[in-house]
Amino acid sequence: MLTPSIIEIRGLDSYYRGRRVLDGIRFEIPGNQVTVIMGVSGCGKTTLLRHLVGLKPTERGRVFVDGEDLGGFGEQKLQAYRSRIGVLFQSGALFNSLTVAENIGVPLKVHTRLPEETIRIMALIKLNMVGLAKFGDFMPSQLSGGMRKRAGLARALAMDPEILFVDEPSSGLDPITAAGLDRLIVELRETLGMTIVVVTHELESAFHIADQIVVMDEGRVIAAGAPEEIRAADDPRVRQFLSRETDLRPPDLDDYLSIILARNR
Amino acid sequence: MTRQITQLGAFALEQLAYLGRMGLFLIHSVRGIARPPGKFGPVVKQIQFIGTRSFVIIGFTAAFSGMVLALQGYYTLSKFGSEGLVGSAVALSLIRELGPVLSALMVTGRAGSAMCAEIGIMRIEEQIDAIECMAIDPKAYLVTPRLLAGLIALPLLTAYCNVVGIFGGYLVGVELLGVSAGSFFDGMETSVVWEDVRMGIVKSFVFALLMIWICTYKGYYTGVDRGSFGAEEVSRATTSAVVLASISILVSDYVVTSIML
Amino acid sequence: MKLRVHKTTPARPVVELDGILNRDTVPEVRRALLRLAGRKGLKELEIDLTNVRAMDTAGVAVLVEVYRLIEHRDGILRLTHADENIRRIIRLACLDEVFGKTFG
Repeated sequence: MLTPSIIEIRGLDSYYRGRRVLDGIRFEIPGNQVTVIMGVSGCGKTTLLRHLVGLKPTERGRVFVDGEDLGGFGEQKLQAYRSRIGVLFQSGALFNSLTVAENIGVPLKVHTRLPEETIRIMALIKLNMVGLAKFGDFMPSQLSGGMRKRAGLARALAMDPEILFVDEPSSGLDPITAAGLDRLIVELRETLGMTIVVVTHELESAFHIADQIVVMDEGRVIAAGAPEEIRAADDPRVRQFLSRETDLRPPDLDDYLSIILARNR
Repeated sequence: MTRQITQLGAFALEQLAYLGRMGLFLIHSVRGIARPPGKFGPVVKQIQFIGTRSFVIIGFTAAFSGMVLALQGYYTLSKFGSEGLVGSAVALSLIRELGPVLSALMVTGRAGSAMCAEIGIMRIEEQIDAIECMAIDPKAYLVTPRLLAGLIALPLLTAYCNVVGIFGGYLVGVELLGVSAGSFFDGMETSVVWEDVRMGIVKSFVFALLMIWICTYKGYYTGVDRGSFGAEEVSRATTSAVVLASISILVSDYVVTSIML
Repeated sequence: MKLRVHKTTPARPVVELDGILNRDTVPEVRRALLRLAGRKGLKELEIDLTNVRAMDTAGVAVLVEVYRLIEHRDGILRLTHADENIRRIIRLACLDEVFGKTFG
């Protein structure tokens, strides 16, 4: 099935305190598909996500949403874009002073004229999707980390977004709950045609849900394609990532040796 | 030599950028009045927060300040044989000076620090990012209600502080030291004029603005400059917010007094 | 969003919705729907969804409110001519057991 790309990334660089964290990232995120961005911790995948949702300023001409330059968005365009997206953060990012159901109602309360009761029912529907129907009246502090994350997903879904960004959905979850979340992600794409971007380092879940996989390493894209293509890739770093091999000789060994041996370079 | 000049220049630019960002922060927060979400509920909630946090402690501070003012005033005034004026002395010092300053400092310590910590935690837990991603203006959502609530609550708390302080002065001056109640209140009535009250009100507005501005700003940018978002950043931000807010209150107290006198 | 009420009999009105039932249009029709559903002597309410082109969670939520009100008075809610998209979103909300019976 050919679907038009929603987001195109054309050579995105990113720096953090003078250090290059993204280096010429280039790939496309097609509509109505699940794109999984994979890589070890610190490979820059979360930074990439922050660019895509407009939390980190993007240089002009690097990221295009429906053909429009994200880097050139003014405040209004950015708000319009953000009302089309939902974002789940690593920690869930629930508001501590509100109940779980109220948390989910926040975007609805701000952006719509819906009455409180309707908002509450909508919040319960979303909570049920993530398996937390009974926890609407709990405070976030009463939930476990995994439950908070699921509640965060429910909040990201509150406005029925076109594009859903998810940062590490299954980290810290037990295998059964994680599988349930995977199923939900696939279901959202199938039933609502949502475009979903998942950042993860969980191999199994990635191959399970992805229509497209992007593998990152040290700020670069080292492979991109359908899951089968990634599995068949012969790039040694991809193979290494897939087979969960640990590096015997870390790439920064020279730095390490010069530090520990107090060699003056 | 050139290196020192470069360093000085860099420092000056940094401070300038800092001030600029603080100024923008205030402008954005004021602009937030006209932006969604609605302000009524959150403002009421914040007034309650500031009030319940500070009510008791301001009462205590005010009572004892009034009492000690009466004690000291009585001692000083008795040297000139005018103990009867102790009422006016207490009232004037409280209304013009101590009421606004004490309430502002107490609210900073109780509510301002808590505000800073609350917003700081929201920063390190990505909650502020989440607000932005919901297409909500985080300053309008978090800062504006607190600013409005501070501007409403602090003048009221100041008035309450004055009343309790004067009552404390009455206890010591009249009940303990034997000044007649008539001259205590009569002196107060004739010596306190509208200008005094106005100065107290202006001060409490200025202090509220500074205090909330600094405390929310410090919380909002918790860890951003250092690029680290650990829990220790919240305590660092809170401490510096309380210190900076207290100093600003005392400095601006002098400035306002010298302008209005 | 348009809302037309056909009264076959006062006890069994038929409401025809026309347009998109989402979070922007729900505030317009909600009150009318609830007023109708809460009317005395109502036995059965039929909501004709033929011309509802799209629906979101807000739409499902307002149907839940209508259902609650009617069920409370032992009445019946029937949703008719719901297309596959609408059924799908109701299924996603796990309410097909509730509304499934009412499809007709």
